[in-house]
Amino acid sequence: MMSRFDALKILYKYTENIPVISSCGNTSREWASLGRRDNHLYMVDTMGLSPSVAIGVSLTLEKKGFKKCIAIEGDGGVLMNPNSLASASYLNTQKWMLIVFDNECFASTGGQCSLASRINIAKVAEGFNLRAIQTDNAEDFEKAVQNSIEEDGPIVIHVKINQENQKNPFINDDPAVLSYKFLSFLN
Amino acid sequence: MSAFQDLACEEIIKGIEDTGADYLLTLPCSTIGKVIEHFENSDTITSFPISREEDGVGIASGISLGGQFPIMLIQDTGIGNSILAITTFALAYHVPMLILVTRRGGFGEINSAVNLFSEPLPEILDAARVKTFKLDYRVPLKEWSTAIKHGAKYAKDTHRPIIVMFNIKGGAEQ
Ligand SMILES: Cc1ncc(C[n+]2csc(CCOP(=O)(O)OP(=O)(O)O)c2C)c(N)n1
Ligand SMILES: [Mg+2]
Repeated sequence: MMSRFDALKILYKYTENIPVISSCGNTSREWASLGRRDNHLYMVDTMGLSPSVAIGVSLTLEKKGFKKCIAIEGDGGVLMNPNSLASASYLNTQKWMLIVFDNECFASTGGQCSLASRINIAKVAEGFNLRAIQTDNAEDFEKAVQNSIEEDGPIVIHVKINQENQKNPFINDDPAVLSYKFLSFLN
Repeated sequence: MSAFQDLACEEIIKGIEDTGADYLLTLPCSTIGKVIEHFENSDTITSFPISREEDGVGIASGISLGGQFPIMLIQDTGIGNSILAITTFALAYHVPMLILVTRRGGFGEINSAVNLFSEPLPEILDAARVKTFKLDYRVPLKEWSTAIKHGAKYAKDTHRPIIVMFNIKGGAEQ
């Protein structure tokens, strides 16, 4: 099974010109460690909100050149805010893409067991009428990312990963600066 | 619906239209059905329902970051569902949006639980440093649309979420 970091390295290759919003905790830290870019919005708190923010951004992309707006969220975050799945489905946001890194635990807070070991998040997304792809290896994940970026329509990529966390420094930039860079990239 | 509520709804509709907002996100309160219905059929503002206010703050933030202006129209209990997103995202990341909030609790309220959140809410928002303007019977109705319009401009000019709250039940200060 891939680690979160392995999967992020793959995603990084295909998203140079695509807005990406990453969830709080280790995900944003590992993502930033690959090299900061202005198309990245690093969330430092508000667990579970990145898919919602990506819905709003993707609404404004309809007339812009970007192919997608991608949210990266954990299993814990998605189960904290499944409402975003309802909204993405209802609004049918063509440029919205959600990648769920499912390690069946709250890895960022020390690996405590989450609810995802007994809940299939891809099926939850399908229950909300969203298209979902399930993967558990690097090759399939890479293909899913490449294809989904090119296709229209909201999509969820549900990735089973191992529970590894990379040690990386905290992102404690002023959030106003983080959003200013992202906003300047978008507009 | 009483005359005061009808007139208040008309003022709120006018205020929202005057802001020039691009999106209206709604989660109904029984008192403002007329406003929501009006914007369901609007050509100038795209309106859509949300299922939880926290998700709404996230979506509105994304719209704002994408260069367009969002308004949320919710009842005050919805702040309880979204205060974390308002503070740790919209405020922290300097994301402008206008949140229009209808008041519950106070005279005329028959719900036996909602007052426990609605009454302390202004203090909660003050403590959280979320700037809130309050409209009630003491502000002439014809000023309400102006307040809403200014609220939107103030949110943009000061780079943060602004709340405009209104008590459209009439009656005393809550
Ligand atoms: C409302 C709230 N509760 C708890 C936390 C503490 N917290 C930060 S990251 C995290 C774990 C998130 O789990 P998941 O989304 O599965 O991501 P993972 O770290 O496993 O990749 C938790 C519980 C928080 N930030 N916000
Ligand atoms: Mg997890």
